[in-house]
Amino acid sequence: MRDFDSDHDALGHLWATQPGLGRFAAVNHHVIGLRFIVTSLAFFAVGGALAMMLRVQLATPDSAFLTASGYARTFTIHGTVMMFLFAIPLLEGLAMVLLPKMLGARDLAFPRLSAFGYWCYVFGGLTILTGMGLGLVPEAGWFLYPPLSSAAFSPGLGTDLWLLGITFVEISAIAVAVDLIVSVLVLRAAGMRLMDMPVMGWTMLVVGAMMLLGFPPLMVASALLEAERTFGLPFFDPSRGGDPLLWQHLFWSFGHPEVYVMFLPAAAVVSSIVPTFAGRPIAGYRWIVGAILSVGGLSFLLWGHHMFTAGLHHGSVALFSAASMLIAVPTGVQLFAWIATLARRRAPTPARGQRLPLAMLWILGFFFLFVAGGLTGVMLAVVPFDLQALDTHFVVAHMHYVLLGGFVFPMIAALYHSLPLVSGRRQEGRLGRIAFWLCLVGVNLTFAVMHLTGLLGMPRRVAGYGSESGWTAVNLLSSAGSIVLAAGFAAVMIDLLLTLRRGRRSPPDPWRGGTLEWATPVLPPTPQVFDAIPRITGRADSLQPRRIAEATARGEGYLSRPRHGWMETLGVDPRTGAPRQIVLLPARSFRPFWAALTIGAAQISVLAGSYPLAGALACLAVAILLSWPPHPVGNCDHGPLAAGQGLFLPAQTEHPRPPLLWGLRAALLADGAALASLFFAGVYLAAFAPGWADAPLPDIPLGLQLVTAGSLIGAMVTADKAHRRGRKAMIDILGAFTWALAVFLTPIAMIQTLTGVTTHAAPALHLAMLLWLCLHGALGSILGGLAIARSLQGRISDLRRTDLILLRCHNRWLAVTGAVALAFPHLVAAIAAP
Amino acid sequence: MPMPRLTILHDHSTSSAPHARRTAAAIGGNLCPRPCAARMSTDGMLSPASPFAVDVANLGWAMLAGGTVVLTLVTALAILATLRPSALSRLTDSRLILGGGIVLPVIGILALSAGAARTGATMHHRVSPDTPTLRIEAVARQWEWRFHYADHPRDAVMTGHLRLPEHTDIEIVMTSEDVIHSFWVPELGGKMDATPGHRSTIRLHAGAPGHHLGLCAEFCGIGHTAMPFTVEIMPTADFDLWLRTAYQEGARHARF
Repeated sequence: MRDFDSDHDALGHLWATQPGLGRFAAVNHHVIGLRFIVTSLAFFAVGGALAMMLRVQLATPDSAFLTASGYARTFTIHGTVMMFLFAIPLLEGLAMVLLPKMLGARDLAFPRLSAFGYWCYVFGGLTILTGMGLGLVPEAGWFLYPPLSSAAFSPGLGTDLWLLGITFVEISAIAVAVDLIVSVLVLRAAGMRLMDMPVMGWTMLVVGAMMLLGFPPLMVASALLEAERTFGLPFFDPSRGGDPLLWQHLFWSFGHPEVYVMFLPAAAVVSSIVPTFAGRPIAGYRWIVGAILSVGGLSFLLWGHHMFTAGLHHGSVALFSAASMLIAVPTGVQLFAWIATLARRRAPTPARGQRLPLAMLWILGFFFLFVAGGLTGVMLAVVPFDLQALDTHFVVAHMHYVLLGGFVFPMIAALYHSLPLVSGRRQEGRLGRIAFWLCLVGVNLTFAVMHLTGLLGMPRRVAGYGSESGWTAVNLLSSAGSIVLAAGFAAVMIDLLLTLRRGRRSPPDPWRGGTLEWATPVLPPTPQVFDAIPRITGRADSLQPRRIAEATARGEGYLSRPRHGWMETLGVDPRTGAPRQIVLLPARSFRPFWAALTIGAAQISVLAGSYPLAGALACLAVAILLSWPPHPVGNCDHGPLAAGQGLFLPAQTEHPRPPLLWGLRAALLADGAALASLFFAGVYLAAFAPGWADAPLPDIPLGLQLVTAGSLIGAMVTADKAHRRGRKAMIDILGAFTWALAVFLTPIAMIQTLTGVTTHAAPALHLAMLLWLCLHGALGSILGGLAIARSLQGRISDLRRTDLILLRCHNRWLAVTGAVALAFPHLVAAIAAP
Repeated sequence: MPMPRLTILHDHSTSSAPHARRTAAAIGGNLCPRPCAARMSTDGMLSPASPFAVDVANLGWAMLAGGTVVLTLVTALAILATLRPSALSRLTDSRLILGGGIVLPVIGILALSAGAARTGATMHHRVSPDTPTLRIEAVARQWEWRFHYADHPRDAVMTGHLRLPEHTDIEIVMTSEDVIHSFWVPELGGKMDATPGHRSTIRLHAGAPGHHLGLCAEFCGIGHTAMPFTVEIMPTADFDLWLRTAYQEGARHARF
């Protein structure tokens, strides 16, 4: 036993976060995830206070509480804070805390990236809040439609601050998405097949992919709008070949998937609490996995239902409408799988008078509110009805039912359910139940009536109404309800805080769960979570956590004995779950903090108009990111290492598919989505925007285009060769570096030939695409340079090829996307030609 | 709240158009003694006044009824399954999932699609082939609507007040001079964005004489709240007389 105890202590010491200033160096998933949750709840309070201001303004007719401008700012920031700074970070935080524990890993795949994501989120959020304090706030609503958000109609820095702050938060979301996807694919317990994963694992895999595909369109749109505002490049100005509708397409192809990015994790929470309560594995597991996948796919086909009144073609309206209604099917499948799980349970039914667990109470609230919101959503998918109800308070009511009922309620259930994992205590007492009923009554009082307000003809976003409009009583009721709701949420927060401090001590596995996060001998779990990585057989939501906890505490499992002070976890085959590699995780580091801070400072410099400083800071940020020290495991060849249970596995540095390769692939997926958005912008404008009949199509010298194409092929071929040669690849790496440098430089030469970028969208689009190519040449050069440096340090051998694997993957992608970028002007010209 | 006013844009028979425009604006208040739009009450979609709006309202009530049934059913099932699972123990997992998750939504979607198609047909087709059609051009800007009687021999522009002849199909072609606005008369039904650089069309049916409130439905800046307009459906004879009189009054004042 002594031996296991000392292993246990050594592991604990390795994985712990330091106190004091050391907190800024934290990289542990549990710590970072909790920070995401706590910060997002603080933003929830801010957003809630703003909502109360809106309800005060609308409580009485002819109200003078806010000016029209003050009202516009308040609803813009309310929407922004709730969507970007509360909802997404909350679900990210929850996934970060729970996912590794559920899947049997000690941490996420890229802990420093998690920390970097957190600091980006904090600084992005602070940028927006500081702007609010200084009165630098956009007044155009959170979806920022141009031309209202253009420089002409929204002068001042408010909109710029918003665009930069949100882009910052999106960077954070993409970082977290990459992290979560790779963790789900590679870092699992031994033997956990893809089809054995808990629903939460499937969900975060799909949600991560949705974030990678859905957030880049908004980032591209924001960049284009910012370029139009700051540098006068026309993308949305109809008098110069742009089109305001382009923004709507890009914004909603982000905005609609985002709704399901919020809903799916909430549904996964239900899928983990309901079976726990019912004492059985979830019913229809395969159905649920299918439903999650189809919701993920369908969510990218319905952005147009926000645009039924924008004058889209009848055919596309019908398609968007059908897709919007179809989403009821996978949603229905999930609802009835939960009902089936409850109906045919193994756990004893609570006797009369015995109380339901608090989390189940919130889940039942979810059932009612979410189904109500889903049904009004189906109503809105019906085009003729939508033509009446769109942009009225009916939509506001629908959206709040879905977001509060379909997201916030399950999230609160999840917080109560997982509190023992955080503090080792569980909720008791009446306050939690009072809070639930206040919230349930508050939501319905505020928003049920609001459907009627909309049907009575009150458009959304009006700052007031006259006493004879007939909208007085309904608005007063909604405002009264909002007070009940605010009291309810305040009570939830107080109850959570009290539980953290003074709740009843919880035994391990208090709810008799079936998933691995409860397989811990003590609550809260130690920083390394598992003293040994368990092997599991069968579905990972029908385990016996207590037995597994006893076994792993005895050191039964993999990687139970620390060596060289390395932080190790198991890397598995994504499909079969067979152990494949030992993943070495990085130690604490201040660099994520400094990198995010530097990027934040660069953004502020852009706002202040000092572009040289911004450039210098951006270079500094890249330098900080590059200086993340590589793990010492890569200093020499190790060959297979003992992983416990008689198993020998290579370290990740010696495996052909290390987590970094999966990470790069995930990042390239997001990159592809960004390229597709830019490509779509060009094709859309050329085909549909006014003023393209005599568009000034740029004439880029053919020679330069051929040189670029040649460089792209060169970069790909040499990287392939370098990968084959391994240790002797120096000359090929140098070649790959040089070709990528050429891809960086030739677009700059091509940009010199562009004229009139501020007079028409055509040259402006080409400028954007050339900058995209230039940036990717730079990235290729950096990867090449990194490989050179690693090779010189002796970190590349025939066994240790990670840098070459990454270079090959990147340069292949660069060749394909570069070809698309080069073809872009020709395609745009062909479409624009009469 | 700007008062509705009438402007004669140009005059085919006299050469004093600029004067006419100025003077007609000055007397606009007399020509349109309508109450200010914001001072008008509306029951919105609950008092539909055109075939399309009636159809949408009926569709809405039908969906509300169906939705209430589904909501009650699902909530009751969830509560029953939680508190009294024995009541549902005869249903197997797959029966519940297939029945509730696939069959029920598919039936609902088919019913809704049929309802939508029927209502959509009302929107796109004219009430009867011999109903006259009036084409109006609307231009939105921060923060007013201008309606331009393009096809009328006496070319006229109204601001903030739309006069329509009774029992006529109306086709409004709209655009915007600045930001995106959205044309909406809840009681007549339908909504259409006025987008700069685009021309979009909405078809309405003006039924019996009466007054209706019109609103801007797309947030268009701090004046968004103060952008309502009135729609006045008039007996055909009155409408023709009004256009002619408006023109003549404008012309008579112009001589001074």
